[in-house]
This record gives sequence, structure tokens and C-alpha cells, in this order.
Amino acid sequence: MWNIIKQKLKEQKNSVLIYAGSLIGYAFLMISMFPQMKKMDINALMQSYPPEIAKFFGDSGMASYNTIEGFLAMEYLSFFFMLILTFYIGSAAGSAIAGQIEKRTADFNLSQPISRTKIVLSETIVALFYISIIVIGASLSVLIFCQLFDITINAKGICLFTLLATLFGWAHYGFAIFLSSLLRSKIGVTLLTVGISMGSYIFLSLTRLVDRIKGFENISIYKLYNPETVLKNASIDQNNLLILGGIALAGIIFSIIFFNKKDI
Amino acid sequence: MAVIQTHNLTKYYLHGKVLGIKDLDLEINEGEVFGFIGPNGAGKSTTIRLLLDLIRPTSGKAAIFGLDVNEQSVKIKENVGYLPGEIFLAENMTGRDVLNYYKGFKQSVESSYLKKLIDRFELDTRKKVGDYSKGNKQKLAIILAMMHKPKLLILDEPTSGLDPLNQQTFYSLIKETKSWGTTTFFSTHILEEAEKICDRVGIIKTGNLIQIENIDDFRQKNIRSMTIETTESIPFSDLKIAGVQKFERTTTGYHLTTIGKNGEILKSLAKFAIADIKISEPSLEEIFMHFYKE
Repeated sequence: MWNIIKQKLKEQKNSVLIYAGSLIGYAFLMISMFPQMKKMDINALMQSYPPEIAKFFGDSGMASYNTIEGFLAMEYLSFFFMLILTFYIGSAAGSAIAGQIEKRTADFNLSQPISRTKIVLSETIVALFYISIIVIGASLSVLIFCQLFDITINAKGICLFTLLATLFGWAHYGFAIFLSSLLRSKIGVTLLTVGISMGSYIFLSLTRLVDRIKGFENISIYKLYNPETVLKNASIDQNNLLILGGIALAGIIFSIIFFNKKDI
Repeated sequence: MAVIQTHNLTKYYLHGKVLGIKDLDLEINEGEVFGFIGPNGAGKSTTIRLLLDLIRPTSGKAAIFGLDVNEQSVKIKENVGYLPGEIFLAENMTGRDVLNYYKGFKQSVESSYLKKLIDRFELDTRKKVGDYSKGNKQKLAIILAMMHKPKLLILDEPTSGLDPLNQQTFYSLIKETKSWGTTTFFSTHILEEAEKICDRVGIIKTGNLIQIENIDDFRQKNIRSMTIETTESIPFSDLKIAGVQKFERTTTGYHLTTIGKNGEILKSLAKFAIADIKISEPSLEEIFMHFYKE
């Protein structure tokens, strides 16, 4: 098992650096823009738009755009951050099972004295570790860049956001590895993971606008991910963490069950 | 003791629409080299994949070293070396990285033996797998299959992609492993290969095991394809000689499928003006058509 973990850590190192680098670069851009954005009268700007636009952006609309927490939540952590992270998750989970079957490397790997369960667990350990590294790296960069631009940000909020985003990423991985155990194409797993995640985000936004789907927001996994509240209030709903952990665990268990039954 | 044992092993694909193999009963003994011969799509690879627990049987059972291949696959694989017909490995790894990676799965690999294997096949392990030719990838695959001196070798068309010199090295390696008690189960569609190294052969066609033969009996059949080039018309009565299984007229002469020694046939042909005679091994399809019709 250890040799798979070692090999996968080595294999994915460069791509993780690229994902983390792009998130850090984007964080730098956003934080450097914040002092200028703060000077703008966002409320006046929003009043010139139809109220639906403000609703689309969340409970507080754009009202919190003038705080670093609200600004980062809206411009960085809600969508772009998760989009990049989900691409990594889809790709890592996709190559864990579906990609190996697609490339036919699974044949030889499964002829080795190692169980399918251990193969999935080894791949999972690496993916969960790198998800944590990407999230921690991005969060640390936010703290550092805020310091650099003399912007005060709630450090506890950032710590709690790191925990929430890590678990949110792990829950995505649970779903993605389950897809990987069903499909036979890495790109299929990646695109479905990203597509479903983004679809879920858009669905949650639409529940605020479309009356017919109001009340269905709990269907969206993004209901459990609220960076603005966590950053601002420096508090976290523990139930959300438990549900996210549960999704991750269920996905991993189901993927092991399906992979163990699968013809390669 | 039977190293491989299957009982009514059956595999259907696509919810029963496509037959892989049906009611396969095999018993391969310790130290034996068993060749599984059949044309493409006969069910050779399906059998190997079932033995390696890559796919699950529709019905029936298979055991290796007396252990169920589905229930105790990990334990079984500790003593199995598998060589696929075409190996797919991570292209960005060097040969050395690949060897080290797969060494990590084995209980013990003697470094001196591994080095000997690498030297014997003259494989440059510093190169990346992606830069290897098909032959070099196959050499690497052979080393991977044999480096831990397994008790059972499962080989799926092992010499595909190997040049004749390396094929000989491979055959001598199989003979060596046999000398220390290794059992070999391998699939092939090359008769000559089976005749060279096997103790017994199993003939498989469209998913059914037709016959298991001792290699000496198989060799004695001496099935050959004879192409006679002539402008003269040879009466069919002159071609109806013992040993001629089938004859037909071609644009340049005649084509015969023969069995056994060819002396009598050549003698009776001597009275005709023959321009050329070519005797070769018939295609597997031809053999199956005439000798394993079931």
C-alpha cells in the first residue's frame, strides 16, 4: 500500500502545485484589488440593478461586498475556489479507478498481491491529503496577502473556513470516487464531478430566484458551504461538517463495494 | 497436486449475450507447462482474467494452489507472475522506477536474480517506459512477471513483440523456471511455440475446451500445409494418399493439408512435373477447421 501512496504523491505533485498556484495567484489578485473595490459605492451600484441580481448572490446580496470576508466569499471562495478544487478532485478520483481501467494499467496492477480495497484506500489517502494541502495553502496565502496589503481579516474565520472547505472537498471526492468506480473514463469522471458540483451551485442560486424551486435548497451540497458566514462570524455549523464527512465516507465505501464487484 | 483447477467455469459478457468460456474443466499439475491454444476470441484471455480475479465468473469455480481465486486472490497472487500480451504501464516512469514500484508488492525479490534477468534481456532500465519499443516493453513485462521467482506463471501470448533471439531467451527461462518447480499456464496461437515448451496443450474454440493433449501426441500429428506449384494436372486419385486430409486446386497448382509424415506424399508426387513445393505450418483456423471441428 505504501508504495502506491509514495508513487501517487510523486505523480500528482506537479499538478497539485499548479492547482494551488492558480488559487494563490487568484487570491493575490483579489486581495490586491480589495482596497480599490472598497472605495466603490457597491450599494448604489446594486440598486441600479434588478433585485434578482442581488438575490442571486446570496442571503445578504452584495451588502457585504465592502468587507474583506464578504468580498472574498463572493469573488473567490464561493465559486472560483471550488471550481479549481473540483477539477483536481475529479481528475484525482478519475485516474484512481476509471482512468486505470481506461488506460488498461489496472490489469497489471490488479495482478499484484494487493486487494482492490487497499488500492482505493491508497489513492484516497493521497487525494484527501492533497485536497487538504491545496485548501491550507490557499487559506494561508489569504492571511499572508491580507497582511501584505494591511487588510484586517478574522484569522479564526480563516481557520474554520479551511476546515469547512477541506471537508467540502472531501465530500466532493467521495462523490467523484464513487463515479470513478462506475465509469471507465477519467475525463468522464472529471467532467461529471465538475458539472454536478457547478450545477449544484447554480441550483442553489436559482432557489433564491425561482419560486417553484424555493425550499429545495437542501438538495444542493452548496447549502452546506457558506464561506461568507464562516469568515464573518468565525463560527461553523458542526452538523454541516458531519454531513460533509458522512458524504465523503459513504462515497468511499460505495466506491470500494462497486470496484470490488467490477469486471476489469 | 493440482496448481490450477477449474470446475464448470463459465463466463458470459453483456448480461449473457456474449460467451467468453463455457463449462471449463481444467487441472494443471505442479511443475507442468500448459499451453492454451486457440484462435482470437476463443476464450484464452477470458480464462486468464478469471484466474487472476480481474473478472468474475457467471458460474463455476476456479482455484489456484487449492485456494478460491475470488475469495483468496491476494494470497494467491503472492506466488503468481502474470505477463499480459501487451503491458500498459505508466509511461512517464523509467524502467528502473517500474521495477522498484512493483518490487514493493512482492514479499521478496533477490536483487542478484533481478539483475541477472535485466542483463539477460539487455534492457536499458534508465529509459522511460514511454520511450521503450513494443519489444522492450515486453522484456520489462517478462522481468516483472519473473523477478520474484513465482510458483505459478500465467502468461498471455508472452512472445508477442519479441524478436527471435529474445524469444529463445524467453523459452530457456521457462525451461529454467520449470526446473525449480514453477508451473506455467500460457495462452498462445503459435503452434510452434506450444510444441517447443509445453508438456500438455488445451485446445479451445469459441469458449469451449475441445481437447487436452499430451504434447508428444500433438507433435505426432505433424499437421502441415503443402502448397504445390505445377502447370500439370494431377488426378485427384493420385492425391488421395494416406495422410492427406484435404486437397484443393489453386490458380498455381494444388493445396494440401496433411497429417503425419510426408514421405509417401512426396514419393507419389515425384512423377509429376512439379515446379516447387512449400511445406509450412497451417494457420490455427485451418487446424481447427479440419481437426477440431466440434
